[in-house]
Amino acid sequence: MEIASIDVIFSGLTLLLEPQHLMWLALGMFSGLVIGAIPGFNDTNFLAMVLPFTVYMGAMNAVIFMMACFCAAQAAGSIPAILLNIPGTPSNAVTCLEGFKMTREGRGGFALGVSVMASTVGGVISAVIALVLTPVIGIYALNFGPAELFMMAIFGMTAVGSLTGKSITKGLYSSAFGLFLACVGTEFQQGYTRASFGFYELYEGFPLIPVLLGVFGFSELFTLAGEKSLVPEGVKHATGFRPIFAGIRAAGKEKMNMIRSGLIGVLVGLIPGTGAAIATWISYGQAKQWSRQPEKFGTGHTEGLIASDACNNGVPGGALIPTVTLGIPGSGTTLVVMAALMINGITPGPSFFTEHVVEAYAILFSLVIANVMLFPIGILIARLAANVTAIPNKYLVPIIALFCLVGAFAWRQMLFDMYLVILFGIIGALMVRYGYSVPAFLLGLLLGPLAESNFYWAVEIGGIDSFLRPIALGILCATFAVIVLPLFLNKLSSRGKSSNANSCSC
Amino acid sequence: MLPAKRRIISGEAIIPFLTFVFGIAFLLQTKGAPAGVMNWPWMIISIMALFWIAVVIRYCIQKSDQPPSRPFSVQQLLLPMQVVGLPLIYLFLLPHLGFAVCTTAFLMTMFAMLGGKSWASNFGIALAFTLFLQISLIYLLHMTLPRLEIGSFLL
Repeated sequence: MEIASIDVIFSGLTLLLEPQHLMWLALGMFSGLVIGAIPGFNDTNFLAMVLPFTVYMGAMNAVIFMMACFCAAQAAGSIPAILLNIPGTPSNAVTCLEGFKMTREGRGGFALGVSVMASTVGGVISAVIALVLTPVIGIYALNFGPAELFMMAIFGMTAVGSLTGKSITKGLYSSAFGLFLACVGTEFQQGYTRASFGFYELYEGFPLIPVLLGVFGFSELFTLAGEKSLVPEGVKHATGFRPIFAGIRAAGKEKMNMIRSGLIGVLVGLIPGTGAAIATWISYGQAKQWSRQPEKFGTGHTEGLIASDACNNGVPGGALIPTVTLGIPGSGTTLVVMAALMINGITPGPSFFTEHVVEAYAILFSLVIANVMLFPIGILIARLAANVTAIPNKYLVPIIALFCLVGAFAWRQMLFDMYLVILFGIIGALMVRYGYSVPAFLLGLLLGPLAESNFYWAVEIGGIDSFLRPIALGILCATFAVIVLPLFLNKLSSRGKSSNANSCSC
Repeated sequence: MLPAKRRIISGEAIIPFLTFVFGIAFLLQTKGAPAGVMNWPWMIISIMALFWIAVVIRYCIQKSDQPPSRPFSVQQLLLPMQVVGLPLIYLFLLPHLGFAVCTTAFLMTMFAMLGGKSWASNFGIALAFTLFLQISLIYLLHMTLPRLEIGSFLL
């Protein structure tokens, strides 16, 4: 595969600018913003529902609609994460860590502004990279085999476990607990159901969405119920466009963080099967390690929020690359995109770029335009959404509880999932109170099946030697570094503090 | 003041206790599982056991001269029990009374419990929100939420 000529690329842009394609782009963005902002409603599920109608929409319109929806949902998922501590999509869990703390300090509008800017920049970076390098870097994804995917899962969990929560031991324990919970359900090898406790609803394991809504959204209600409003009394609460633009300016000063996080989103999105959830945690961990103020992470720090949201919107572009070039979907949503192409008679893969090169570039340009449009639309949505913080808790808490319960029901249409929200709400509240890492626990639950299946395949295919391949070894070294580095840096900083104290006392 | 000695910090012991109970329940459930199926869980249990021991030694057993105390007082538990209890009652009644009735009653009760004094505004907001959810979830998104049958009419 090679990069096409300027004429072909320009033809792709011209094709996209036809009114009907722009209309589907706008519809996709609107749908994505609505779906992404509602907790429990997943853009993948929504697009799967839209799939049958793509026959009437046409291949180009369908893919443009889906990719615009994907981008917008990733960005919109930050809104409930920041304002209500409920991630709109699983990948927005990281946003909750910093964004909600900022809301509680009266800086909800500011946080939304930071999110809009970071999402736009991360998304544009990923779209431009996808546009320029898709024919070239699609091959990179093939180097990741089961051993590498297993090591990525372990790296992600270790990074999160050691960087979040009050202690590394409790953080890693939380990751292990999440991995253990993921063992519940039907085992992939022999189809044996492990520990469903008599509930058929647990045959596929603990469902992610109800658990997420429980540990993040419902658990917060125990604190909010005892307070009058989201923003505690006495804390100055800025409203209007001013704090949003202040957030945009603040994010604009963190160029390196946004670019690095966007690139991490592209690179991790490129790897099939990883998705935005793991990418955002890696980006957050990286931002903390590069930061001059790592101790501020988890307290409502702008850098952490930028890292998660820029990366989050960097993933769609990366995920599209293996989908279009190799016929291997980079994520759940791009799987549906691939299905839409195939239903309409187009087979993604190496031949897609030779037989439908103009259409391919039109799709890639749609990603660029969708992310650029995200900026003005995001500001308007942020302005409207920020008013949520003015609602008194006596009305907000029951509504959040209802959203969590109904959102859980929306996933599988099962009453059982609503009970799970309450159960994991209690567990989440206890974990937070005693300094355990809820994000690490969730990531263990999410990545458990991926880690297990890839471990099995890696051992079956290449034995233990498959874990000694260069990429797998590199990720293993990064895993140890992530555990050892914070301890080493803590020791250095405490030595520095004590030598300062000694020199001052002299 | 009591002499300082190693005591179990009951609050810190909650999570390790819950995970221990879950572990026992898991192993009892998977008794008799075929070989190969339990390889991965046993790996995870072994890793977890190491961290469990580290957490218990580091955080749950500490030297203290204070007398042992409960992790929560009854007063502290009152509001959380209401936050959990009311949704549980809501979920129990949902299949019997339907989404519309249960949601309106749940919202009204919770508004009042959290300090909403005006029954009229509680009812108005609860009804408006329930209607909004009913239309968007059931009619637009075709979610199969439980509904109350009154004769031939579905609420």
